[in-house]
Amino acid sequence: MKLNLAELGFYFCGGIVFTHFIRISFWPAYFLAFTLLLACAFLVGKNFIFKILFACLIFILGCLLLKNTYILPQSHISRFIFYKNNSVYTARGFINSQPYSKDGRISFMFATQELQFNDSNYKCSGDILVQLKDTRAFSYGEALILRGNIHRPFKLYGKNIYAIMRVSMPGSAVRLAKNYGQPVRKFAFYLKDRIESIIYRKLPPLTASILDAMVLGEKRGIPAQVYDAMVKSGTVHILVVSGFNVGIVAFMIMLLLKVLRLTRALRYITAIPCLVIYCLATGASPPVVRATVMAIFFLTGFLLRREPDVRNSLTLSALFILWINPRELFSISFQLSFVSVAAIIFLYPQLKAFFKAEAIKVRPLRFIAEGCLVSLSAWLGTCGFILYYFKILSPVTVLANICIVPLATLITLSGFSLVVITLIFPALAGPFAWANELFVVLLLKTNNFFIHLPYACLYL
Amino acid sequence: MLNLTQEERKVMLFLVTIALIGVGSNFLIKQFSTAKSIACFSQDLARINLNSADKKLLMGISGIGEKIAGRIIEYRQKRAGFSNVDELKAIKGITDSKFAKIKEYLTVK
Repeated sequence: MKLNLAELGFYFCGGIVFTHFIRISFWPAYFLAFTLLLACAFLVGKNFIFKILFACLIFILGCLLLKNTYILPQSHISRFIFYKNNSVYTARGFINSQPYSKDGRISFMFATQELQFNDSNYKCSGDILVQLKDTRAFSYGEALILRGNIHRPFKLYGKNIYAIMRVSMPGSAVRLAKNYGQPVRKFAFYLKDRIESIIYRKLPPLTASILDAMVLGEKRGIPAQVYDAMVKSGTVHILVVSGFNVGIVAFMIMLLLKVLRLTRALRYITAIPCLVIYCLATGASPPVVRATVMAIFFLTGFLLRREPDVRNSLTLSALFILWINPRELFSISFQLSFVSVAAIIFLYPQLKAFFKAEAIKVRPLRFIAEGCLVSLSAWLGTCGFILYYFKILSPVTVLANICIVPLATLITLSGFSLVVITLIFPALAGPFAWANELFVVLLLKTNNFFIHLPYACLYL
Repeated sequence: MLNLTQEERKVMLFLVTIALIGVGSNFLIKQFSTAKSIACFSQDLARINLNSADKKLLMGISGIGEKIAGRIIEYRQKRAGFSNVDELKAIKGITDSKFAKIKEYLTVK
């Protein structure tokens, strides 16, 4: 199966891209897929013809999956929202994400079940973004009745948000004594709440917001100036949860389990659900899902004593995400995450051979040189996308990453240590909090230094 | 290029068949589904039945705290249920303004 998965992923993504740019009808493509399937079944023994037919079949499967996401059922909430309609809607459903509270407003995704407007009642489906003015605390899975205006968003349409409901009148949110939340997600969100409360309790707001982003991927608390400065130096990737964080979590879990003297197989088996919970707690964004699937692939490989292939595992994680939502292929986070990892996988060995990094005899120097090359390959891979999306070119990125990534590793590790220590021995958390504060200040100062270098970043 | 064994090919074909059937049926359901109108509200939607709601459910309504919810249940038990929503006015703590605010969320069945 060497590299077969990577190849299949390539054809599958090709189908999605094709359908995105060229309009096709579902049913002719569907019948073509079935014809190809039958042909494959009959010609399963013929090597060359089977390969070509099967590649075409996977390509069309990608087309069909994307096409299927374009159509919404008649009962979808977006079908009931009309242009210039000011009627008040009453919706029953449940909270389908972790509620986020800021300035007396709570935002969350709301899975609708029933809808009432203009004296008619309908069964409905689909999620809406709710912005609720309330002082009460809400949690994931809670069943509610909400009353307010619903409108179609413009910018959020691509993010699978088809409607926004604003609930501002007092008493327009009625709690029902039911909970539809999935236990695993509930536990993940509970854990996230606990960790967030520890971070914000032990650290000053700026440090806490940066640590919250690095440990839990929650960027909403970060001041805009800090975020912009990170974008300019090309180090903003440290403010999102990515493979790097998943790696650290996996490492810490394995270390903890090793201390508990568990066998290797048991350690791997225990680490997998822990990683899934971490993935859910951080919002299951494409970079985290990618890293989690890759980590599970690797752990399973070790468990089964099979040699895991990084290219196959990368494709498996891409297929996993695209199977759930093919539109993710066009999201910036998906593209940057996969392109950077692919660039490191494919470009780094070439660059290493080209610059003869192996020839450096002094170990620390070789380590630094290799770090530079990893950073350079990731930058080369992503610079085209960054230019296209952000209209910014940061020549300082490679240099900045060399200094900032080790610092970010230190912050993430000390952040996790702070959380674990606070949970076990709260009285001992002081020094960890001070160290975190110092590292974050160092990070900001270093970043500031790099962006003020001449030609550090160029806007196009 | 796609070096699959005969068994792997059969497994892949089986998986693709299942996926195709799934996508096709999902597309059909979406295309031919209709918006179902509900003749009457399900009990939970918009209004809470005063004769069956528990304390927790009543407390979900803005304006009804633990004490008032307790009094409502006590009143219900004493009088063997409410005959209409207006009876709430007889409960201590429910003023006219509070009643006006909460009555739209309540019903009697």
